Amino acid sequence: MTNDPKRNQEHDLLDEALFEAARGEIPPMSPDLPDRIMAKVDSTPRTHGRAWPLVIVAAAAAFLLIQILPFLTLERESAPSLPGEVREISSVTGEDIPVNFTLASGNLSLNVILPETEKALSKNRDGVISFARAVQNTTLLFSGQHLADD
Amino acid sequence: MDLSAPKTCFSTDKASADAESEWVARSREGDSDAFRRLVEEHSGWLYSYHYRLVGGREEAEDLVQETFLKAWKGIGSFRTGRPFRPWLFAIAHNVAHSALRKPRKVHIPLDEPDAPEPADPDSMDSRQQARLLAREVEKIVASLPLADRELFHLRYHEGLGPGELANLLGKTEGAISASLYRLKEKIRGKLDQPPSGRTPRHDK
Repeated sequence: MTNDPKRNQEHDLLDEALFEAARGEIPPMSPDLPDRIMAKVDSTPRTHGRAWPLVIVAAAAAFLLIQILPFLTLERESAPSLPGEVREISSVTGEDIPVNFTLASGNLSLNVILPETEKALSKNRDGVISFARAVQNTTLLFSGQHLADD
Repeated sequence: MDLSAPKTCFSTDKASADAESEWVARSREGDSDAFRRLVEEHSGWLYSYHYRLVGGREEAEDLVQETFLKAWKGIGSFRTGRPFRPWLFAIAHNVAHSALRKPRKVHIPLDEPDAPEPADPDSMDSRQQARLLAREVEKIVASLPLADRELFHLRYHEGLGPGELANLLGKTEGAISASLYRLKEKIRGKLDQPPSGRTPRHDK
């Protein structure tokens, strides 16, 4: 408001016009709109409660899977299939792991202590295979600690 | 004229608020009958809000429907004990703004029939003058940008004060007061222009 009565009168008139304009010119809503909305709602699934606990569980599961994936992968992978050399790493389970190699001309069993990281595991796996190649036609029990130190 | 508009669509008495809290709680459990009560309670002001922003009845009703569908899907994330209407408004605000960002049908009115000869304003009382002015204001508001139309509707249709608007739109009360002042001056400025000099709105 100002000290100018004419300006104040205009101000009041504009205010009144603004409220009047805001009230007018909105056609009524369809009376069946709530029914239409509920028909959609009834056919729409929704989340119950917050989704973040599920996200945390999924992230934890993914993290664990990544940690054990190298072991699982090693179990399935095949070594080079050359005549007379390593064909398959048949089983790797747990720590201080017995690794069974099937060779073309005999079997080789090793106890290997596998390191935790995938990178070291990969390096060791190559070492195991190299060793197996060198001792083909032989069956013996070997301490993998030598390989881990390699 | 009372311009303070003490009761707004965002202010409810305690009994209504308690009933609403119960409907919300039951809706969170998946009770669609309780959600229907919320739809019936809130579809009116949501429709007015969307209509003011999009300017067409069908489109406004579609946006009300979309608002409630999003509310239904997300009601599990609603924090119990908090007021429901501002939460619902935030959804409506996002729905409207994202709808207006997409290419859409533009309603171009046919030529208006010849208006009756305007009466001499000096011979009208203030109420009649305000009505005459209001018709001009409606046309001007329809030509304003989205944010201005939203502010106009919430202030003058819903009767929200600067404090409530600040909470609702996530701004400071000072910023809202300044925006309201600019909006009013913009409308006043356009009222002083001849109709041909008023530029159409751009929803950006």
